[in-house]
Amino acid sequence: MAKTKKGERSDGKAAPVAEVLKYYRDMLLIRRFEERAGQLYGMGLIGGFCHLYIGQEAVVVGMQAAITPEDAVITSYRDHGHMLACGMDPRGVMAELTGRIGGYSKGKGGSMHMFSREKNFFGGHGIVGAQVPIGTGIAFAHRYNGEKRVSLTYLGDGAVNQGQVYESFNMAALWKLPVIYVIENNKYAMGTSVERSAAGQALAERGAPYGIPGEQVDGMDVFAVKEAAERAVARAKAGEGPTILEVMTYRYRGHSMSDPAKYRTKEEVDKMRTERDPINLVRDLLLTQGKTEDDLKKIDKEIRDIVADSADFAQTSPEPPESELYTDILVEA
Amino acid sequence: MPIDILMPALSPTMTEGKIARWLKSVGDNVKSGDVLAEIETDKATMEVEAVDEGRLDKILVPEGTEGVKVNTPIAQLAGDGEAKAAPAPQAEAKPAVAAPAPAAPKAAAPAEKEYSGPTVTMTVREALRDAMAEEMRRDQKVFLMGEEVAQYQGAYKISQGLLQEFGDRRVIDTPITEQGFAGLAVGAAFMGLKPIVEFMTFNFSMQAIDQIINSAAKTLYMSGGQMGCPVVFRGPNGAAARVAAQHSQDYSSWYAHCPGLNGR
Repeated sequence: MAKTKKGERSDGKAAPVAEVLKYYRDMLLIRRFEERAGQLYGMGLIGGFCHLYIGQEAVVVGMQAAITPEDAVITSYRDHGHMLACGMDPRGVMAELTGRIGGYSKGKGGSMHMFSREKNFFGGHGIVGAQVPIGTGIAFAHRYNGEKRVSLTYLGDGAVNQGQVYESFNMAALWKLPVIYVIENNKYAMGTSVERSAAGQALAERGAPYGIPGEQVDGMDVFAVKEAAERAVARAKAGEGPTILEVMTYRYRGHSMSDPAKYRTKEEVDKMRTERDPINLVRDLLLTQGKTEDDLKKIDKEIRDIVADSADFAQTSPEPPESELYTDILVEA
Repeated sequence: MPIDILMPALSPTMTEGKIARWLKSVGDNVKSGDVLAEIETDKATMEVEAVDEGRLDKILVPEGTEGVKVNTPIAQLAGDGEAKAAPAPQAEAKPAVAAPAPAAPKAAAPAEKEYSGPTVTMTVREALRDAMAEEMRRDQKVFLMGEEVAQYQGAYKISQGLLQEFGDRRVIDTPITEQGFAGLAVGAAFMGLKPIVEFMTFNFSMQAIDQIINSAAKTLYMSGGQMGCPVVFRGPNGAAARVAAQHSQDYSSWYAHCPGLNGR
């Protein structure tokens, strides 16, 4: 892991205030959005599976800061944060959670399956590990088209034990594809800890036999994530092939809404929340950079308004008509 | 006792072949392992090695002969002590050349007008290859990937010549990694490319069935129509002779059951 003080860049300087403010807003939006989603779930307005991203916000916000809108993003089912970080409309995401026609997938995908061609977000995939060859194929298409674009392919610490991940590593290394594998290590694959599921060295080293460089990154520090992402993006765009970033993070909530998370102690969760919270890190930095509590309260209010608006939309947008059961199955030739 | 050398079957599907060249002449002594002749099959030119030892006594089928049926005697070895060199007789009647393709059964679709233009005779293998080549010429987004599709010219020779015409950017040999390359093709298709993925046989698509169904077939619906997946998975399917149950299954009904797939 890079030897930097928390919240500082490796050159020892703090990031410009405007940049820090953007991270603060983006992370706070994800946090408040997810809290509201949890609330709507409790009210019965969201059904099915719902995996919240609370605690992991610095990962997507830091990664996103290193790429351009032309670059592609794909992830698994814990995807709300990724979509918001990609700039997708909170209304469309929340309405998909409530299964309404105004959702990104017209209510037919739900929490785990949303997409945006406009924002180059390719899902939202419900089968653990399946997004990894797909993300590799997106990188393949970039190279096939002769474009300098990268594919950010996210996976969790559970997915790293799927065989297709290594099939992907092999092809990506063989063909030097512009893909960055971001392993979000939140320590638990549902209820099974990394210690109980992963043999061998750090997950960052899982690409070593294929010659894929790996790096472990502090995922609670948005600045550390961004700098690691920039190194990986530069490699990919220079035609040097894939990189693996193992981003050490933590989810505060259970695996899904129905998970009481009895596989870890309350103390462990509290320690992360109080000592390593990614939003507090940036908040504290802003206060040292001349922002006042009032400035930050104003931002908090703006974010709350955006989230409240998305929740209203998600409850007023109509449910899809029954005829939607029979559309979008095949494309007419 | 003279020993007959028979036309060998050099692949599971070979029924006849051409004697391209004799590498031994009448009167030559032959040891087991010596290359006797080159034979052209429907897929490749292969060497035939001697199994028995002795002196080559007669060449029964001269080089250049096409359509020699498997198991036809093509030469004779004189066993030990039977050395009576005879001049090589020229082969008897040339065996019939490949029969024309059987008449196609009448199509059930009533609307289809009967075609009355010129026709060509070609094998199914060539027709599949030509169809892919036509699409690849028409659309730069179409590419072919799979095991042995490029340099080897196709395990079953469907992709013969495609590497030469389209190059290795568009005709891509993959590692033996069905789930991986099926998923990779899905990602490429989400990006708007049009991959043709060859499974050496559809039996091997079982390794990739999650990507075919959960990713390729269902995503259009689950994305509300945004994320189409224009990919073709192709390969031989169904019963095959003498290769046991793992290589003989017919998957058409399995795939036909899945919404979002167009199974042919």
